[in-house]
Amino acid sequence: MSKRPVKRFIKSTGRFAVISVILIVGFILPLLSVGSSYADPIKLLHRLLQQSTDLTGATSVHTFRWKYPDTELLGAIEFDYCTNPYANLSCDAPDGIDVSGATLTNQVGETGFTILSQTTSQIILTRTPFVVNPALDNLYEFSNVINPTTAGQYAVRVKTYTSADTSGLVNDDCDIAFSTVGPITVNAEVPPFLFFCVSEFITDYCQSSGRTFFDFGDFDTTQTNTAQTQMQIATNAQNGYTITMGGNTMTSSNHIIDALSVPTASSVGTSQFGVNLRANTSPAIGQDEQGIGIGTISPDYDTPDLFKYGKDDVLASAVTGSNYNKYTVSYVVNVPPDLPAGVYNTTVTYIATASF
Amino acid sequence: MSKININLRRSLSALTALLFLSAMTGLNLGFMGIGVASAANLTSRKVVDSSSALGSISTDAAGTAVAPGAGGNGAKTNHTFTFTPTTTSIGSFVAQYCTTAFGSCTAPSGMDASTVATIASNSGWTGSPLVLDTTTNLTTAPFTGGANGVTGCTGTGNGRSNCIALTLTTPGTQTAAAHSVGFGQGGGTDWIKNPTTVGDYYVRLYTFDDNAYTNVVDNGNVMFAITTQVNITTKVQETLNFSVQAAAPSSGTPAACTALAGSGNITLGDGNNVLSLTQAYDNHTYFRLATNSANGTIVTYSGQTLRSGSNSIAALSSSGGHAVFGTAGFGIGLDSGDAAHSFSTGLAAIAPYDDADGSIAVSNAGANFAYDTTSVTSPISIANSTGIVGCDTGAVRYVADISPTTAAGIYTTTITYNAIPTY
Repeated sequence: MSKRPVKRFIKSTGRFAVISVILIVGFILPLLSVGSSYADPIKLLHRLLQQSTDLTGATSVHTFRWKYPDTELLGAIEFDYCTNPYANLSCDAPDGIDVSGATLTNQVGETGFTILSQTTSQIILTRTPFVVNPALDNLYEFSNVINPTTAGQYAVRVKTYTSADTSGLVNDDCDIAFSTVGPITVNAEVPPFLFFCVSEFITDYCQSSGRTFFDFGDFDTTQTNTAQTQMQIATNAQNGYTITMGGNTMTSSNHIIDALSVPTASSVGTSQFGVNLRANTSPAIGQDEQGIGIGTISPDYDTPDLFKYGKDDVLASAVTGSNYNKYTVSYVVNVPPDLPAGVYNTTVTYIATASF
Repeated sequence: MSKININLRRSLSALTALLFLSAMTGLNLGFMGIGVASAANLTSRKVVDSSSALGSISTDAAGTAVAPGAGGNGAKTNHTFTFTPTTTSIGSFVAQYCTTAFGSCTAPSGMDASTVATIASNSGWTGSPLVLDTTTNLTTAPFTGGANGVTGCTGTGNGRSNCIALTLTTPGTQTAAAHSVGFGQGGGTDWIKNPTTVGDYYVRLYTFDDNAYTNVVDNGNVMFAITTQVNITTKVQETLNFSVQAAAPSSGTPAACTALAGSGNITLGDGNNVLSLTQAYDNHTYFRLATNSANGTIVTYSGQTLRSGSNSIAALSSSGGHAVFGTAGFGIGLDSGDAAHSFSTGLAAIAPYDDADGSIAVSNAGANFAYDTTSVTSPISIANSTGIVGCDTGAVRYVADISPTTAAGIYTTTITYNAIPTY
């Protein structure tokens, strides 16, 4: 046997050895690694999916959060929306899910990702492969996600890859369950209302009141004769309310006590009939407006100690809906010595009008 | 002649049978390794081992340590022997572990009884107390050359890898009743390590009428098996079962945690859904949650207060408050007083949404409610768990009041509940 064939043999054997090493390191070991990865997939830690709304069919923002479990090489992240989380079953897209128009609107922690591809039920993020920091809290937010249109339980299968696409090794393979529900709708009705009451006195929002008939007795020409009533009002009329006063001055047959046509001070011994809505000192009668409403007293009836009586005059009003106000109407009657004898009376009518 | 021949054949056959029987008997005695033909049998004998796992196993399939003496721990086991002696004069006892029942004894591979430090249990013995013998050399006379019929003790502790010996300080007469003695459950290292190869193994038991192991009086074999453990692996995937509806579900937790699937529409008010200045109105909806999220789950709500066009009924304070008659307010809270409400498997209400179970018949008293309109953009948590939730049903109570200035109209709102588990 010559030396040349031996050399050839050694040479070819050496090549075989080199090729074998390359095959083992470059091909077989990665396969083992892949097999190991799929057999016992590593899962992202503290993973969750937060939906801005979980309403069926709604356009939602889906925010994923997790921590990477180790210092792994990362180049791509795959999100698959499925009807079930089971890796051994095929991933069927939920009815109505649509992430084809989703955009990556925020990323925190390990960043630098862009959308590599997307379908109605899958998004793949990519970036130049790098080694992740497991200490970071990571967030990936997708806007314009159309939720599944049927209420139920679904899952997003998340895989991370060592390559910038999905051709590399799988590092993490896990699921995040989420659900969609129908809305809760609450309905109620608020009717238009106008609360208004008149009496001698009023308490507890028209819940109790006094008399509505007043007897002055015999008029005294040497002092002012007085009486007072109260009225309370509230309304949700958006354009407010007005309170008008109807009725004539006090009369007895064809004799009258003069109505004060302009705000006038009480004058004993003269013929006067008038009202105002303030706390007066001369005579001492009446109260100022009360309550948290926004109603106001008309100017002619808003000066203490000045009284007026004008048929159909507006006594008080509010320009919008108003909570309760309580007005006290003070009545003054002065009579001259020559007033013809008789029974003088009048009926004063208050009308509240709300504008809805 | 032929008749004589026939008789001769019968005699030869009988002789052959006799010789065969004699040979088998001799052979059996030889397998037993017992040179003392007078030894009787230990009857009703058995060995109970705490584990049939390999001696190399001390953890379960998940790598979690199994307690010594438990079924999944073959590295630290206890063995208890029970037998009834035929010969009641007993001074010592040897248990010898072998791969075969008869013949020379080969110690089971990996087996180690040398760590036995105490007699863990015994019963049926009378007279002199039992003493564990850890000093007598079981590899020298009389344990050699068939002197006492026991050979093959080997290994650590002067032959105690596969042999355990005990003596009675003073040999005495036992009852012909059940005796037991147990080894390997004293704690620490006081255990028996099982063989490390799957198979059937034998323990040859001997009693001697002296405490020097000279004269075997009874013997007998017991068997035990070392088997492969059954490891069961399965996967439980992440689950989230969250549903809502307006109608009250049946009270209590349903076995199957049936999802709620009814309508989500409710009304507030009197028979015509009209709210009042002089009283509050309430209603309920329900959510149901089951999830295996190990790191907890939060349940949130999101939505506006009641609105009618540009008008709205003000939300009650986000920090909680009562319904006040004549003051506009809309709020929600979890009503533990509702029959269908059941937080018993993990969920807990979060303040101020945890106190809506009181009365609303009196103004500004009783049940507490809250509402936060910022939930539209940042959902507000009303319940949470720190771990899994088996199946909990929450009753959400809604309340509304109006003020005299609440504009007339039909008010509505849509509220969305969401469950966010962290796996």
